[in-house]
Amino acid sequence: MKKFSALLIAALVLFVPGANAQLATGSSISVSVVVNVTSSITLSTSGGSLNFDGTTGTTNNIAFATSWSLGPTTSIKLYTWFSSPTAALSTGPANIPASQIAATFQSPGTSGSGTPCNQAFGVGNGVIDGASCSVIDVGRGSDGSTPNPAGNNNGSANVTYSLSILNFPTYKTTIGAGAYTGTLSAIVISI
Amino acid sequence: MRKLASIFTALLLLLAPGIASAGVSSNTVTVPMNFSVPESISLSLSTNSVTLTSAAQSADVILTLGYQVQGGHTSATVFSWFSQTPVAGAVTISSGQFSTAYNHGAQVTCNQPAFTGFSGGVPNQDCGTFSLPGISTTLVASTSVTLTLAAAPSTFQGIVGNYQGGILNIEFVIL
Repeated sequence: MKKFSALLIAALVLFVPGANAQLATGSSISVSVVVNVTSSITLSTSGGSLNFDGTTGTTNNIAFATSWSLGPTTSIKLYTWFSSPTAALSTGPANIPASQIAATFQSPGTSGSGTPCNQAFGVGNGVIDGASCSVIDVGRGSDGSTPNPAGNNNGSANVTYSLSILNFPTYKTTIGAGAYTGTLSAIVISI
Repeated sequence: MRKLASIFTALLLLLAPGIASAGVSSNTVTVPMNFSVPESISLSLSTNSVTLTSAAQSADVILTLGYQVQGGHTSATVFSWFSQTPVAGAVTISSGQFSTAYNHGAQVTCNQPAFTGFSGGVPNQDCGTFSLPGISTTLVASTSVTLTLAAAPSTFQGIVGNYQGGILNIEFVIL
């Protein structure tokens, strides 16, 4: 009987291991998974150049289009500025300062005009202090809504924009003649 | 250990807003701007009629000169000349009997030859000129200049008559 048992165990040893061949490491190895969703803001312009009318001192309208994908924020603003506080427009020997020009704008949630473009916001990013026009709160919706400070913010806005020379009927008689040129720059900043 | 962890968490909460406020900005776009101001020049007179008599042998005409120019000009000059001289019947007073002076300066007899650098005028009937300074640096100006037209005393010792039809031309030129 003992001999029979020994044979049976031997048979089990021969055949069973094939069914129970388990191998495992002593512990699991973790893999770090990171999904990096980057905040972004895009800005584009349409409508061509800003050409001042010699009779009215105002320009044609252009449009700024911006869209954003951001995390929590309280502020999404469009800044526009000239290259110099003293020479927003220049024709060589003669200059028109930024303080003599104002922007007129219409965004979904705000509008404005008449403020001289000699503002200083101290926001960096190339925005020139003393040569900036009114800041435009593009993050404000037409219903008065503001950016979500506790969650994600995805949105877009279109801004209609033009410039005008302040006190134009009088001012135009005080400047030298010529073809004045300049550059308006724009950027959207979320803080 | 728990206390240390809570302090660490508090520090993270305090610092997190600072990290978030680094801000996000868009690309920068630029828009060209253009504004054209044409050049202009103007001349107006206090009067366009002058009568000279033996009692008033000269008269002042106030010239108001204005201009709005671009850079590069080299001269701004007032020219004056007679295109017609006063006549009474068959008798004419020659332009050489008249003189002009600007801002009470030197009198110049109106028998000057052709102007230099100006195609207007009538040779030998041209009067004096006046140069406005600073045209190369002053691009916009408006100023008054007194033009005195005088007839020589001998004019009033000639043939008695009412001499009419004289025309003194005044032109402001910027080159």
